[in-house]
Amino acid sequence: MSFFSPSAAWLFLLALPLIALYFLKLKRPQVTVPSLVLWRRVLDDQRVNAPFQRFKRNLLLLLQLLLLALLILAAMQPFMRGSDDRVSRLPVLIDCSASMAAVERRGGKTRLDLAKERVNDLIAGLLPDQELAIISFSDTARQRCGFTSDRQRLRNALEAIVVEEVPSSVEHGVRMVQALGRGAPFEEVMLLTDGNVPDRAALDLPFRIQFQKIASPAPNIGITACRARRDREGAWEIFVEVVGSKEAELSGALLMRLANAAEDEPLASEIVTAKPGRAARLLFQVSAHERRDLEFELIPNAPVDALTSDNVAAIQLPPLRPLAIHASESLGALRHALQSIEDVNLFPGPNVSPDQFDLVITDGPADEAAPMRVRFNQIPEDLQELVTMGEPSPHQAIDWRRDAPLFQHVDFSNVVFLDEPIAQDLQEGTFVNRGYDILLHGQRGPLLVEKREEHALDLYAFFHPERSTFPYRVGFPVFVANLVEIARQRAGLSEAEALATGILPGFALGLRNQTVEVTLPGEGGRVSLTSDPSGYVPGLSARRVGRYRYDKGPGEVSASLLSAAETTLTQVESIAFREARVRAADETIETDRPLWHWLAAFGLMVLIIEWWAFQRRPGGWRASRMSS
Amino acid sequence: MPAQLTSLLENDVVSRLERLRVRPRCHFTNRFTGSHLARKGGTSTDFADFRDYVPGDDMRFVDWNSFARLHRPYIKLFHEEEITHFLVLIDASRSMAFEDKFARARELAAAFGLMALRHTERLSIHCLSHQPKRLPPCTGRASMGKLFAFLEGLTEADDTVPFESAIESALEHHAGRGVVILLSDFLSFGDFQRAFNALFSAGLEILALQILGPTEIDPDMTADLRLVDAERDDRLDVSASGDLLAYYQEHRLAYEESLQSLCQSRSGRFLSVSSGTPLETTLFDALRRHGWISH
Repeated sequence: MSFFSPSAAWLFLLALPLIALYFLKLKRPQVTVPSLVLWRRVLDDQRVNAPFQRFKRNLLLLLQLLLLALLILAAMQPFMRGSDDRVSRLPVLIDCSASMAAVERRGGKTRLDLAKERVNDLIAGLLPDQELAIISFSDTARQRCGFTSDRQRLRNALEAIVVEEVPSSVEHGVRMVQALGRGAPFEEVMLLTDGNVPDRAALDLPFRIQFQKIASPAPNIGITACRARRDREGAWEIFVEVVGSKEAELSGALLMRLANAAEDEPLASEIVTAKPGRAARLLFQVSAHERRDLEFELIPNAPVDALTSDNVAAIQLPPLRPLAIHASESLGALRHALQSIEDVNLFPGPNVSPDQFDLVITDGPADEAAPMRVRFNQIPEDLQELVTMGEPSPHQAIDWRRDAPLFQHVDFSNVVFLDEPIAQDLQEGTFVNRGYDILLHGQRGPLLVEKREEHALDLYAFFHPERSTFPYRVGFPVFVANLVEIARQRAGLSEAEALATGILPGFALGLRNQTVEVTLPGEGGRVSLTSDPSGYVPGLSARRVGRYRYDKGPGEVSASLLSAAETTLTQVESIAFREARVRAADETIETDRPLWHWLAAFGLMVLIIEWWAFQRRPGGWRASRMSS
Repeated sequence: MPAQLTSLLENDVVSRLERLRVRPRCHFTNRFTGSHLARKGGTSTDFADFRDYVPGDDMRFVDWNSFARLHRPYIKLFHEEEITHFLVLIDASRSMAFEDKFARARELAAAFGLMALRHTERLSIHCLSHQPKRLPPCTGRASMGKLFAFLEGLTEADDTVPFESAIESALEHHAGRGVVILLSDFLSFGDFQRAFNALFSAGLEILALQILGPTEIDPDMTADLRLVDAERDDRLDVSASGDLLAYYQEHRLAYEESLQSLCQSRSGRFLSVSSGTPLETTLFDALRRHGWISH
């Protein structure tokens, strides 16, 4: 035990005036008794006059001295040393990812609640020269409170931490702590997590980490994936993946319902059993002729399911419609190939043009907005410094990205191109740095590059297909079919999947600088998004499972899936940083424990006893005054 | 509803007491014929024993029935019934003013006096104080009114006389053997041995009845106090503690044992009662169980 303020021991000198005042001011109440015969005999007894008994006679003085001693000891601020190394500054990293909502029993405390209790103990034990900082992390990190010894501020910051239904990334948290350390140095960091974090982090540690692992929760089962694919008959095949935690085999009933349906009757239901550490996959089929908003609900059989947020998955299936493709009329071979593909509306053509095309293929300067655009015989502006077109001369492709979906079953061997792009620097990094991937290499420069952006995929071919032998090859219709399939995927016509929490995808609104209001699920309130000059609305940070309602654009979007790691509640025993491996400590950290409040409470108790002893009247004789 | 005979005793207590009498052990009797059997042979109707006839015996006491059967003369012996003098001494010191001890002493004196007069004993009462009051010896039921009037008029004294002096003073006005009933709290610094010796040598069997208040038996003291002696005005500082009260109890019991020993060594008896105990319980339970009174 140590004292934070030992100089307060001088206050013990107050005992001298206290004793003096006691004896000077002691006024005993007088009680008339019939006789002192017996009392004199009692007081003459050797036992009564024993030192201890004498001591006991001045009970009030003793209580007052005890009270004084307790108050002075409290003023000296004693504390029990938790460890040999005292920490003056301690950042506390608290995991608030989805798995921290796991419970041990129904209605029990979450991992986050347990972590908060530990931090509350730390806050309660703060000494005046100690400071805490609180940082929460999930897939991002947030500084809740800088270094302070203000208990109320720390408690408020701690209280504000809620579970975010997203994966956890300890790297972000540690980076935030590193940034914190630039202003206020410290040597140790406390990491409070359930262990459901990546077991590696590519970071150097300039401080020690106390990895405190919260106790394991109950087993969990949940939906980790939900994807739909259109089959050849025009129906949707929906794959649902259910994963359980590794400790036990878990089962449940998986129900498929129409979202927002009035009746509660499920469209289909299946019994699913997830073996420890293995995923169970189920297949459902629904018609693709109309838009379907489906919701899958998993009802676990186990009495306790640690996480409830992963028991629901929502998927939106668009209705079946032809792919709208705009292809320049000068691309005759390509249009010919497109016309032979089913469920494709080719423009310009007899049909009325839609507002937006799914795929635009052009060899001119047209700039229609579309999720996928293919431009032949064009060099984008940001590559014009790098690529120039040489004199027309026959040459062949020397290599292509064989694993690219666009080139599936396509062979460019012996295809002759008349247009020859010449690159100033053929290093691939030169193009990658500008956001372009080279898919097809010519002899002196790239022939086909792609630029992937969040809301669009642009393919630039530095040749014209009509000036090559490519349309005469077997691979050309296959290439066009691949193009159409990629466009279908990007238009959401061949595949769909339930969205996970994290970042919801942006969308093309078509209007510039427009504000889109989004109502968050639960009581999350509303946020505003603004479309960029190209009319694209950026993605939305979805921290919770639920429905996000946009007042413009896609309408209602559901974020429902957690990461598989969160659902399995996998716990790591250590985290490997670059130069050190930090192991989890099962025992609670021993911090300095101040004792002054115990002493103060004990002092209050002594004060009450002393007051009671002082006020208590000699009941026996008070009632037995002289009868006459 | 019949009028009360006295304010000291309820009528039903009086009627129950009339069937009881005090039972002395020593039979200190007087020459006057009374209702107490004397140790020596007498002329009462209570048969005591036989003995051989010797010349000179009164022929009227020969048992002729035995003589007819055994052809030898035997003399029949009878108990002698003599009168016993009951002396009741009431301590009227200031200590008796606490917790109705003096009132209880008056009630007990009335009860003992009633029993004595009912059985035609001689009764006299002395109130032990600086200016003693005295009920002269009286006997018979006709004296009951005098007895009650005397006791009802008694008050506790404002002063205190040493116990042995008060006893000796009372004995100066007393004559005759019998029983002395001493009603006191015995919480005095006086010389009890000397007082008891004087009583015993006066031919009195000592029946000492100590009357204590409830808080004297079980004090409830929980603070630092200055105790003031009601009789001597002495002061004593005490600080309450659990052990102190336990020691008090030890010393109180030891004090009672010493008083009992003083009485027993002089063929007397000692009993301690509480003024908080109902009178009926004291009379018809405690005193009867200890053999002080009986039918």
